[in-house]
Amino acid sequence: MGGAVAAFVSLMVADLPAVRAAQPRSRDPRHAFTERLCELVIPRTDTPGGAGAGVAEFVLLAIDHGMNDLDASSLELVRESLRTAGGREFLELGPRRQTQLLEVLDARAFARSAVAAPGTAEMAWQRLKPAIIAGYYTSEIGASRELVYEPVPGPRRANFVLTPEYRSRSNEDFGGAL
Amino acid sequence: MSEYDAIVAGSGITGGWAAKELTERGLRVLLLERGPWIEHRKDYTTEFKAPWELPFRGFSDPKVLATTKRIQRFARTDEWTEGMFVDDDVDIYETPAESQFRWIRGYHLGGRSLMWGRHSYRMSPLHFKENARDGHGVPWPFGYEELAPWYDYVERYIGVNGTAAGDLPGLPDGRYQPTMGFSAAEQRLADLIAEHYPDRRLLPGRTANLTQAIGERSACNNRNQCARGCSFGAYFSTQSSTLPAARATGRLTVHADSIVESLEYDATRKRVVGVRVLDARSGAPTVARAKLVFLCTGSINSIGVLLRSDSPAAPGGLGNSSGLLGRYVMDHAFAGIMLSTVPGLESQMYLGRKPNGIVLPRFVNIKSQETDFLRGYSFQGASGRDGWKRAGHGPGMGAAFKESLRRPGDWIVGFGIFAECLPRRENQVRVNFARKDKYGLPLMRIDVRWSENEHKAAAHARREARAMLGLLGGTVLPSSDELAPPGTAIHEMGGACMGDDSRHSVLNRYNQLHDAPNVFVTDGACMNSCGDRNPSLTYMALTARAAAHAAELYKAGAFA
Repeated sequence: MGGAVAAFVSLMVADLPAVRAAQPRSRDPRHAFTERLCELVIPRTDTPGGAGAGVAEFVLLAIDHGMNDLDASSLELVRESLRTAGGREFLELGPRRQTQLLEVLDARAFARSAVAAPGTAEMAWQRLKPAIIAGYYTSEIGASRELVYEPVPGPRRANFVLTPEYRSRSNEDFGGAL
Repeated sequence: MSEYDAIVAGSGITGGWAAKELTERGLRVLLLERGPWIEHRKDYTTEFKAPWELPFRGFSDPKVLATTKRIQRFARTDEWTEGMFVDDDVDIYETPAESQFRWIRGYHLGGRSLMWGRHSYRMSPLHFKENARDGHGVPWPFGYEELAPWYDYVERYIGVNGTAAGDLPGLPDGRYQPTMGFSAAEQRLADLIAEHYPDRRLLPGRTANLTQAIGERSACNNRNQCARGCSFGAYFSTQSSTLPAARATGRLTVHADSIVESLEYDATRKRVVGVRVLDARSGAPTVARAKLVFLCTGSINSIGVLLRSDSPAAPGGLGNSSGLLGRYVMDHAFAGIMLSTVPGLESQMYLGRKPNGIVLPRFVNIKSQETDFLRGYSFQGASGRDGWKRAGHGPGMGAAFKESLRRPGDWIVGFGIFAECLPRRENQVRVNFARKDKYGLPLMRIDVRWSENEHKAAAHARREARAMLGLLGGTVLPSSDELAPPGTAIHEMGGACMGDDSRHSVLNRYNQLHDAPNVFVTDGACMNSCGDRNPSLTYMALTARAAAHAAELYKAGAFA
């Protein structure tokens, strides 16, 4: 009996991260800003974008669990940088201005010659952006509607010439680092 | 009288083979597995999970990676596969700071046969000669020719896809199913290497993934996610292959959750008369009895069983009259992947994710000693086109950016290095009887360190890899110059070397303990040298050979 209870308790403990991970984050005060970033990076086209795919939920989970060296300051650094550059809260700006500001930060963060310093918005964005991308392309929408989800490819076709219709398989990049 | 003729400890690659061979040769076998049961198909719980069905989308919880999988993670686990590996907080061991040995394991039915890399290469004739030639380690008691028919036997059974390459000096050919072949980038690299280096051949990896069905095992579906378990049975594992064969004889009994603690030794008869077993759930001890025992619990654990069988009649451990038990432990010196882009193939693509990769077998020190290090190294690698992850690591956003990710990115091809580790007496596995794990077993203490020879070999290999990848005219991406700590190649072996002289070896040429000939050790512990390539095929060949010998001896009444 004791063994069974202990086993059950250990099962519960083992499952805690999963329980936490499944909690809804839509009421999180960071959610609206995060969701806007996700949509600006991957906008709605003929398939839903970052907002429609619920990417903000994954990004906040990634921050809260320290994935890709993210921490609580990561989002704040990006937000503060965009607020300073825009002269007011990012979410209060129009879409065109938001796009401009984020494009500037993105270009700075990923400029070939630049080495982002710790504690800067550039480094925070270097860590945040992979989470946005991963969140989108591992979502059902990103993996199976925007790209092709191919869990069982079957017989391999070794080499062929790419056709205009070919669309990348999301499965190629699952797992590993963000 | 026992209801079993033989006990096989461990159900991984070699334990499965021992069980299959012994039962098929008429013996009644008890197979002991320390971990829980994993039933083929039914218990591959993450196999068909999509990333959006996993809490961390396949990337794993960083907290898990920092705690319970802090060592196992170096097996390149992910959220689908991490459950196949032990808990680093429970299955603890000691390793000194100078070693930092990474002991990567899977404690469940099938062991690491479920997560193995599947690359299946024969050792070359050279590998069996070099201990005697350069004086490092204990000379092998036989040569390649002795093992060749057993390689044939095993390859045919497990199903290895590959190409014959004309018996290269560094890599003999085997019995292959049709190859999975090269991608366009791999073919380009192979052509360039052939053009510039007449003594080198890049080959499609030879892996135990089927390209033709064998019985109920179907051909590979190119998912490249083998370590989740494969319901198609398309790669070799205990579950897909040896276990059903052994079960089909009607002579197999399997006990899971049964940890082999030690062996009961009868000094007057010079043989083992019992296997002391702990129930992994209750801790209850029992003794299983049979006429002969196969130790296949994985190199370090098999050494542990023998060292824990220390008694007045077997001081310092059973089978240790030579003083060599636990010595000459090795792993391949692994240096991380070196990558290059491959320009000029933008219109070429593939469908399916082939799990075989590429191999470039040893080419140094073949005909003579050419380098300032002994022995050699081989390369293994893979290729593919950059996928959506590239978007997170470079500039860009918006609709056009999203659209661009519908097309594959750059071709990337890369090499990892496996350098041979010299067998060194001071690289040793011991037991610390003063500290115990949750099962009450004293901790293994693993001290394996790289010598100057491994560092020199890896540095040489890096230069050569850079030069070969440079032929592609792409960008060779930055890579680490560090050797990974021992254990990272997950090819730990040695510790119970073979030989004809009981004063200078632990096992005889048929894997029997000199000090207790009814005990066979056929996992990696028996290896006298490690070569420069994945060893599992050699373990299987040695196990099949030893089991055939054991069955003959058994029938002749040698263990009566």
